[in-house]
Amino acid sequence: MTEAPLPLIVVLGLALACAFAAIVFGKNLTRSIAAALLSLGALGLALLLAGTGLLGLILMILSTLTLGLIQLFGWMLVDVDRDHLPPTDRPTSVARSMAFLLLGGGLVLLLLAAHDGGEFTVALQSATSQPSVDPNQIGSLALGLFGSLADLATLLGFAIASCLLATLLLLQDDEGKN
Amino acid sequence: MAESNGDVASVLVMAAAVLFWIAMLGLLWRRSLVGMLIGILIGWISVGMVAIGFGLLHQTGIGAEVDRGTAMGGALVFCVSVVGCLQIAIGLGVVVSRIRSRGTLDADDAGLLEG
Repeated sequence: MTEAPLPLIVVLGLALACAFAAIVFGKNLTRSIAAALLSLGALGLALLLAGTGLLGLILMILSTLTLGLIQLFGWMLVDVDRDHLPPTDRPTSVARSMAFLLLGGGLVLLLLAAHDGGEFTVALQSATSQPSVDPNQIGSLALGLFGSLADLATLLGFAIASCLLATLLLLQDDEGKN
Repeated sequence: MAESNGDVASVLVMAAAVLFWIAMLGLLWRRSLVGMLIGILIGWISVGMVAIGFGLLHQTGIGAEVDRGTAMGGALVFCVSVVGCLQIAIGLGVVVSRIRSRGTLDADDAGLLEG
């Protein structure tokens, strides 16, 4: 498959696990922020290991500043022990779960199609043979970013939009009705 | 170098897809507005990672003074980061305003746009 360095994969795995923990621990803001900070640190290390240099640093510095803002305002606004919110209604939970699963399935399909279709390899071959970005064709490059997957990406976009709209319709109103 | 770039880029893009999925988990299942903001933050980091992978994948590696692929990736990362920061800043303003007016962080309680 890929021959990426093992430390990069391990650090990325750690970052993903910490990001998942940051979401799962959401009922306790302090734990959530701590896991998010750990995730950002691991991501920064992974980007440095990947040789991205300044780009990774810019992304990580801005992300850390933003997380600091959220932490500051969160501690001002929220009881840090837990968020005291009642459980979500069943129809809303079902709609959100469906949207979430559909999004995950779509992402997996896109990645599989990109891997099997050789999108990475094609881009790599063009990059090794000549300058891959022709200044005269930047517009067409942006339009054709998904290459042969453009149709699939469009369908996925429509599916995600419809799911999010369905989720929005299932939100409760001020009287607690759906 | 180029092959290694391709491998690293593909790993970054796959990790970014998983990260985006986790971010959507935060947006869809967390009801606290602050938790949702953390989900948005993770989401735009994942998009930035895709942009970085794009830059790596399109590096020419021919010794050009300014590599166009890296420059395009950098421009994308910069745009995504600035828009993400502004989005969080505006979101925090909305959260503060909502807490002052309603006294709750529950996103499900915000149904004023419905119907």
